[in-house]
Amino acid sequence: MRKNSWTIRRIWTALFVFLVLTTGQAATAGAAWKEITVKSSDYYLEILKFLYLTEDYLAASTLAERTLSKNEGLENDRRFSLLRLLSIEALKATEPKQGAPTTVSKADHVATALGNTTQEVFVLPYLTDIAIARGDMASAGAFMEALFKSTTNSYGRELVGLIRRAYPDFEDTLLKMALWHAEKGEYHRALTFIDAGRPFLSRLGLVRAGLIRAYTLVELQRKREALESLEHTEELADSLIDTYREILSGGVKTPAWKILPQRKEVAKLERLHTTLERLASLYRASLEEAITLSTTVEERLLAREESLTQIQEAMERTDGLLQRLMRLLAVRYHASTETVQLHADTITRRWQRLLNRKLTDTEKTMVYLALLDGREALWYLDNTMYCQLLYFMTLEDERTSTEQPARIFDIILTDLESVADENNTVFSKRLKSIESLAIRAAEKDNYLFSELKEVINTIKTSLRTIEKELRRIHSLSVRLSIRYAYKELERLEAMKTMTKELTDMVNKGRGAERFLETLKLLTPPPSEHFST
Amino acid sequence: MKALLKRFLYTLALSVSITLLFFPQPVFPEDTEELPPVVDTIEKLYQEYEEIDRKIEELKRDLEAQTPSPLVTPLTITVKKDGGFTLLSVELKVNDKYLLSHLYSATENMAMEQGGRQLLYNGALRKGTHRISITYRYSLSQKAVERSTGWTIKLQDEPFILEIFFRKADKESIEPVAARVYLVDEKELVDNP
Repeated sequence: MRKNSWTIRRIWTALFVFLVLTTGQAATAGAAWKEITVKSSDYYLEILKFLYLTEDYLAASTLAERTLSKNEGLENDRRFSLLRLLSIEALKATEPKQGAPTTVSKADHVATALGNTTQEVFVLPYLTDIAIARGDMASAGAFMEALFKSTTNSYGRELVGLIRRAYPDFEDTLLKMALWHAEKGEYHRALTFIDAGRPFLSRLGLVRAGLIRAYTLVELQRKREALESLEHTEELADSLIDTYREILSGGVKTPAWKILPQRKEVAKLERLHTTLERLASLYRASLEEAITLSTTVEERLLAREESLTQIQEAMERTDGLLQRLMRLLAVRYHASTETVQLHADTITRRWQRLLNRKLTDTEKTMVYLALLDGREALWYLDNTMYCQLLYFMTLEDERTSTEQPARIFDIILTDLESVADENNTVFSKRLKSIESLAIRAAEKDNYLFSELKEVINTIKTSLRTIEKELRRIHSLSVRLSIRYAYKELERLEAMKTMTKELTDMVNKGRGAERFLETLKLLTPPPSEHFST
Repeated sequence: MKALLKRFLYTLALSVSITLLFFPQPVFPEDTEELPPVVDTIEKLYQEYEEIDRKIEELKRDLEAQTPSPLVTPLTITVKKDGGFTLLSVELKVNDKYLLSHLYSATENMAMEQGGRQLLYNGALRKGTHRISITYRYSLSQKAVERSTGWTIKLQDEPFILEIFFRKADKESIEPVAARVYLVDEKELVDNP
């Protein structure tokens, strides 16, 4: 007997373990994902970083603004406030204006408190130009140096890129400043401008800078460095010549802004291309958002359909369940204790047929208790965990969730009386009202769904137009590249010859004078050169 | 005299070359004549974008007016990646139904390699079990490869954030590693180290 009981226990344990394992596997079938914990600030910063680095400045500034306003603890997080400011500045430098936020917010105060001069950085090239136009070269130099200093931080590369796009003439301004100082005999200052300004220069600009640099080095009696500079300049010229020859041969289709970004007309073309790309990116982001919204609406519609079906099924069952409960209560008054279990088994089978599934142990207990005590059964009915009717009510009807259990208990008692009198129950009425609410919500969702579909179609049409225009600009730009490459090639080859001859002159110890004479010839005084 | 003339001619040639180098370059108006229609198109497209943006915001407000809906649960899918390969595209399916696809640019690859996180999907799905599957294309060792994989998730009441991290499995291939992300604020980390 004891052995039998031990065997049964083992069988039960094995069954339990098997069930646990099976259930565990079912829950993770095909789900090879792990669980990780991430700090909120890091999570949002990673998203912000992606948006900023992919030049989605509008989304970046909006996200930074929203995150900062929602999380007071982040006010002192320099990373958020700095990325927000950089995004806003970048927005201002782009075309068309993307509605940069102009309101002064907490982040601005934080940035001011930090003493960050990011906003000023974008004004510096403009201030330099004005100072040069006024002939105030000292101030121009100071502004330019301030600009170099401001772009040596960790966001320097991004700042330089933005300034180069916003001020395509800045390369000319920089080289002319260096040349002016060289002419005045301020060789160290000229060298400073050339060396510090390197990040702002294109490849062609670097060749031009190489000549001025070589001259200043010769004047400073640093002939070896001058020769190195000339050698480097020649190498750079050679590499550019190769690029231009490749373009002319038709081997590569390079857009003009890749080779001559400093030209105004090229810069304009690039701006148009960038603007179209940015527009495409805005449209694509809207498309993704519209698809996401439409999926959410569609999912909700499907969920509503399921919910409506369940409500309708529940409506069909409600009265039946209550009638059965009435019968249970009647049994309670007339049955003896021995017959309770027998009735419970019968009723359990009936309910199982009604619900199309097996009753859980709790539900079986509920049946048994219903037979023993109607009030206790009603308590179970009141519990959403056990009674699906109330579950639907709490899902769709806010009133139910705010009602006290006692009130629901009253409803059930009223319903039992209604069943006895063969009237409509409160549950039935409620379910009908929930059904009409769900139908109205589904109608609204259907409207949203069709509107979103229309938006998605419009976006797709616009994206096709943008792609067509991008192809047109690219092809125009490639034609320009070929034309410029042809012109530039002549100039570069002449310059290469000149560099070689200058190297020869320096080697023979006669370079400085000839450099000076040449530079004097080509450098007009600032007041004439930079007219307003 | 001859030396002086030679020096003069040399200096002249040099100055002409450098002057050519430093002074403004000729413009080719015939190439930029085509630009005005593009500018008009951009203006029109931008106005249209503003209208679409306004419409989406309006629809979003209408949608949010009915939320939080207990019928659906927010689901966010983010993408991160390691260096050493280029992610070309990701196509997202939910329960075998196409949802969206994203083409990754070089800039987006760079942004992710520098620690950026891309929001691939930020919506809501019905409560219950869903199959999230992706078809991803990547370029490694100058070869473009396409692979598919998926995960089963169970959405309950809590919002679900699924992170897909693409990393190199070996020299020849990459693998997407999925993780459910739980967000905690600084205080929670201090309180529950």
